[in-house]
This record gives sequence, structure tokens and C-alpha cells, in this order.
Amino acid sequence: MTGPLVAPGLGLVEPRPTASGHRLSGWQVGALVALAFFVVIGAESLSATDWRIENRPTELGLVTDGLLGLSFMLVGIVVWRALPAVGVGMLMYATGLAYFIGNLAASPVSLVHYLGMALPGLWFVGLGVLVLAYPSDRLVRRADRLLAAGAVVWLVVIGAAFVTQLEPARCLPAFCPANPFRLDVGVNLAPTFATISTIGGAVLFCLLAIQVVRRWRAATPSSRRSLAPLWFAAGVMAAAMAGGEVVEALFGDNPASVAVSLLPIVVPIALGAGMLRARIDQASVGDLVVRLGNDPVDEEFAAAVARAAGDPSLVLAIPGADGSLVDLHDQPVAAPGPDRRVTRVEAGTELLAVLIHDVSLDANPDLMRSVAAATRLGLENRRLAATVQAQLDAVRASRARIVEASDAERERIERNLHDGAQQRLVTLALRLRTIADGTTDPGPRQAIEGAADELDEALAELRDLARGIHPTAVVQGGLASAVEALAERTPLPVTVRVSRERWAVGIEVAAYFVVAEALTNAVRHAHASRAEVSADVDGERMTVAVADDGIGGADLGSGTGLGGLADRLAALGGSLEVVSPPGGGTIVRGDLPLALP
Amino acid sequence: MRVALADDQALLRESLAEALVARGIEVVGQADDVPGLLALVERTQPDVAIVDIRMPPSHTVEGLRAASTIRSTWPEVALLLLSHHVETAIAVDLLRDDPRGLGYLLKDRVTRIEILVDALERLAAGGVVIDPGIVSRLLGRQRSHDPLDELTAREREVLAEMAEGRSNRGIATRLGIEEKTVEYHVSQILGKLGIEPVGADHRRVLAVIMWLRRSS
Repeated sequence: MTGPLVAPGLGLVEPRPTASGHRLSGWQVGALVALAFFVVIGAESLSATDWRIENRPTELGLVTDGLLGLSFMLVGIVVWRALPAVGVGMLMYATGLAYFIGNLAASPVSLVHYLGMALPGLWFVGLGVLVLAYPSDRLVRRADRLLAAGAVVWLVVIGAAFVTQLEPARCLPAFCPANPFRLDVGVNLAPTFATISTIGGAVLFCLLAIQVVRRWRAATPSSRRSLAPLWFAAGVMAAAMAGGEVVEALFGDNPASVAVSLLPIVVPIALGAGMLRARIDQASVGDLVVRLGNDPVDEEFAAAVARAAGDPSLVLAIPGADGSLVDLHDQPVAAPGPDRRVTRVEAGTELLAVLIHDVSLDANPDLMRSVAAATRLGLENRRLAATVQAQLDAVRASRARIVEASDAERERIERNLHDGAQQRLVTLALRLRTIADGTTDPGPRQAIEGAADELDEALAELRDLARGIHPTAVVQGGLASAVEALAERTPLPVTVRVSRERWAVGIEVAAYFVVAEALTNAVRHAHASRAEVSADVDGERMTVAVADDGIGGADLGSGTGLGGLADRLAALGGSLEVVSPPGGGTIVRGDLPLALP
Repeated sequence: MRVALADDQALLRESLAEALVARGIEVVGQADDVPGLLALVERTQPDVAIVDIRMPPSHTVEGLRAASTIRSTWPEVALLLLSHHVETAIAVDLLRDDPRGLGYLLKDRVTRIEILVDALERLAAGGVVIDPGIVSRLLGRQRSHDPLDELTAREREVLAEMAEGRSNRGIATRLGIEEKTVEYHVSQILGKLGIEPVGADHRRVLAVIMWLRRSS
């Protein structure tokens, strides 16, 4: 899936582009801080020397007013520095600056004064956007965008209209700012516009409140939790707005109303703290990388990703068979709501997966990029592991088939030997002896009998050879009886402890060859005086062991025939072990799974 | 003596028949599978049936099964079983029931026609025949503290003949000694090896073989 995801009824949800914003250098921070203080001091000085003397605020008023604007700007700098990719810091700073537009009305300079009169409430738009977009800097819902745009338009229009009706209330000589924008329509509409403006402001405020409530209701429980600073700030703002009017009306200008008017400082602090809390230590991503290397893509994997990102509601979705997105249970993924964001996990042009997470993570796109990279590593690892495993399985199966095929071939050879050459030789020997019987002349008779004896020896050798090629005795009589016969043929005392059960042919033949080879070595190389053969079965595996008391020193390499045996056992999923300390006897141990691979 | 032959290796079977006939033994019929054999035995009631253990269709143990059928249906017919690799386990199984008139030889042994004829005669007389190869192998095995070392040379010879299934008279003939001497040796042997006397000659074969199979 390559296009944006659609959240029905709520507009398009675009995956965040991967711009990294403007990182603040130390110089720039210093400059912004200096500017902030300059603006605050300038604006408050201006207010203190307001040419409209009755408007001059008390010292306390100056301080609270300055603090509020300053708090927006300072918190804005902190957030901007910490999270440069998100424009929230910048927005806060701008809001702080716009806060002091109202102070401009204290200036006797005409243009400045009327600008201050026209747009004192502009900063509210900034505040509103901060609240609606938190923790990002973009408005997603159409309603939000309309509200913000509408608020700006409204403020500008009504502000402009208001200004055209203003007359300076009184003049002091040389301080009277004339109104260059005055429009005389006969009646002074300034009070009317003021009232309209107040009503409009209240309406906008109500709409803002409605949007905030709607967002709350649409949020998932985990989203609500992560947006706690927002609800807190909104609550405080509402309290301050309502409370400020009430307290001032009731108590006038006293410490209680000062406290209430200071309340809004909590807003930028709460929002800023919320933004910073969303910035999670990148070290957790390092852990994620280590862990993802080992986990298959399943619930554990998705949970690990969610943990590293710090969002329990994170959903890992992968492209399904038909190109739509499905979760790890192959269920289609619900389209994300407005408080959800999408981070793509890509390898080159291929979309490996999509992480759908809470909008609060948008505050730290660096983190999400790291998480996405780690997820990509995990997914690619898993694919690689699956490929390797498939190849390994194929090789194992092929190896087992080869052994099987070679065994079948050997059986065919032995059969041919038996029915063909052996039969002929036996018959030939019989015929020779019959002829010898009928020959009275002792010379030729002896010669013929001699030839028949040679033939008998050849037959015995051939029989031994055939047994080495394919031990029919094992196939027909079972491992136990074949091993007992083997033990009888061995010129050593051999104790045999093998159960009379039957197992799969391949297993019995392999076990037989281990015993045969080990006994041969015991006689030929180890000069042993005793040997013991045992076959133990434990659930799904058989361990066949041959122990002798010879000179030891055997190993899998040195021409003892054990190397080929090790391969045969390995092809069946088993292993061969030789314990042979010099002078300390030898134990040859073959371990086999009872089910053929 | 009248003998029936059952073996699916035609070439060998024919040669065997020729060799037997040349020795004056009547071959009453040949079969190449089990149904054929059973029909042949029913029809001709031979003195001995020579049966290859490995017969069609699976070439595993059809011959053994045919032997047990013949045994239970026509107990007067003696059986000589030919095997391609003699296993003492099979020998023991055969000997457990009534071993009279039962023989077990390695197939290669038939090239020695006199061994074959001797076996047939013993079987027709109700004796037991065990392949000498098994016997020498069992005797030759090394054992820790070998009790066989306590036997005299003559006693070892007698033991070998016993293991091959010969009766006291047969042993006496082969070794050129008196039957009474044989009886004496036999009781000595059984005593030294700790084998219980079991009465009839053919029963003791089992006891001896079982004893020899033990490894210590």
C-alpha cells in the first residue's frame, strides 16, 4: 500500500513527512531568549507609560502580564530546542510574541496604537491551535482547520472594523494619535463592534471548547492518558477565563484575582512539559534492536516495538496478500482515527510494515524513525532466518534421500549378488564335487576337490562382502539378532544388550553398521580383549554404544571407517561420538532419532 | 530315501537334484514356492523335505513358516532348512519344540554332498542336524574364565558332535569309539559345564547350544 490511509469521515491522515525541522544552535537560543526579554520589557514599559493614564496597570499587573507572555516564549524555546522537528516550540514562541500585540495600544505612535487596538486577541488563535493540534503542530480535522481559519478571519475583520470607528478618548497635547483609518458613518459604531467582538470571541471560545470535548470523546483510553497535559491546560484556561471575570467582578483588583490571572501561565508549562515527556530516551531503541534480532515477527515482536516506542496502543501492520494492511493475525487493520499517526517501515522502495501509533509520538519523530529502523532490521532478519531455515530443511531432506537411495542401491546389489553370482558359485561347487565323486582317478579327483575347496572359500568371502554391502540379516531378523550374530563372529567375548524391538530399516541398518565398524576396530586396531554392545532407547532417540578395553587412540578421521559412519548418522539427524583416550579403551557412541527425517 | 526339494533358485535346485540322484537318492519332486512345496509334500509324503528359508514372495522367512506348517500337518516328514546366513537365534527357536527330524544348515554347505547326504540320513532316522559352522563359531568364542578349558580334547570333540545334533551312536561312529565311552564322555561334559541332563539325545542339542551362546 503506497497511498495515504483514509480515516473515514475525518479526512486524510497523511504519514508524517520525514523533515527534521530547524535545529537551534546555542547562538540562536541566546538570540531568541534575548529577543523574548527585550519584547517583554519593552511591552511592559510601554504599558507602564500608556498615554491613556487610566489604563496603566499596577506593578503586579505588569509582572503578571509580562510573565504570561514570557512563559509562552521561554517554554517555546525549550520545546523548540528539544524537539526541533516539531513546530510546536516555534508556535509557542510566536504565540508569546503575539500576546504583546495588545500592549502596543499603549504607544502614542498612531499605527502602532491602532494595530494594538485591532488585534489584541490574535494570540488566542495561536493558543487555540496549540490546544487543538497538541502534541503536533498541524491541525488535522477539517473542523479544526475551519475554526482556526475562521477565527483569524473574524479577528482581522472585526478588528479592522472596530478600528475604523475609534476616536481617541482624550488627547494630551502632542500625544494624540490621530486615527488614519477612521471612517465616519455618522454614528459611532465602536461600542457596537466591541460588543460584537466580545460575543464573537465567546462563540469562538465555545467552539474551541466543543472541539476539545469532541477530541476527548474520540480518543482511545491510552490516547486520553497521553493527552493529559492537554486536558489539564484546557481546563485551566477555561477556569481562568471564567474565573477571571467572576473574581474581578466580585473582588476587584486583589491578590485572589491576581492569582487567577496568573493561572494561565500553567498552560504553556503544562503543554511544554507534556511535549518533553513524549521524548523518550533513545537508549530504549538500542535495546529494541538487540531484542528484535532474536524475536520472530509475532506478538512478542509487536509488543517489543510498542514498548520501545512507549506507546502500548501501537499496532504493527504488515502488507497482506492483496496489498491491504493486516495485523499479525491476518485481520484487516482498522483505519486510524485522528489521534493516531502512521510511520512507515521501508526497505528501499518496499513497504515492510506500518506502525500505527498515538499522535503523542509525533512529538518525537527521531524516536519513531529509530524504532522504524529497528523494526525494519527485525523484519529483514526474520525473512533471512526463514530463508536460511528453508534451505537448511531442503538440504537435510536431500541428504536423507541420498542415504536412502544409496541404501536401496546397495540392497539391489546384494540381491543381484545373491541371486546371481552366489547362486552360480554354489551350483558350480556342487557340480565340481559331483564330478569329483564320479572320478576314480585320484590325481584328477584331488585336483577337482581342491578347486571346489577354493570355490567354497570364495563363497565365504563373497558372503562377508555382501553382508558389508547390505546386511540382510538386519532387515529380516532385526537389529538384536543381527548384532548377536555379529558378536558370535567376532573373535572377542562380546556382551550384547539390545532389545528385541524393531525400528525403521534405515535406523536399524545405521545402528548395525556402527556396531560392525566399532567391533572391527576393536579387533583390528585396538587389540581389545573384551567388548560390550548396547542399544538404549529413550523416548525418541536411540543410543547405540560399543565399548572395548583396547589401546584407545581412535578418532573420526584416521581411516577407521568411522568418518563415513558419522556422515550417515548425520544425514539421519543423528551424530557419532568417539571417546578414545590413549591407553584407556574406546567407546563409540551413535545417537539417532527414531523417526526418519 | 525319498526327498523333496524346495528352492526358488532353479539353477542350484536342479544341480542339487542331480547330485542327489547321482548318490542314489530319489528326488520325488521340486517346488519353487511355498504353495508348490505344500502340495508336493501332501502328494508325495517324502522322508525329508529340503527347504530354502528365503522363498518368494518376500524372500524373508516364508520357508520357516512352511516348515512349521509341514511339521504340524505331516509330522513324519523330516525337514532340512537351508539358510543363507545361519543365525543361532533361529536355531534355538527351531529346537525348542520337537526337534526330531529337524535340520538347519548353511546353504553353502550343500556343496559338500557328503555332508548333505549324512544330514539327510540322520534326519530320516529322526535325528537333529545343526550346521557345523554355527557350532565351531560358538565353540571358538572367547569367554572369560572359559569352562571349556576344563574339558579334555576328546571331550571337546564329543561336545562339538553333540552340538551338531548327533546321537551317541552317531558320535561313536564318527569318532571311532565305543558307544559306552561316548555316554561316559557326555555325562562328564554335562557335569563340567553344569548342563542338566535332559534325557533324549535330541533334547540335549538345545541345552548345549543355549549354553554355548552365553558369552560368559
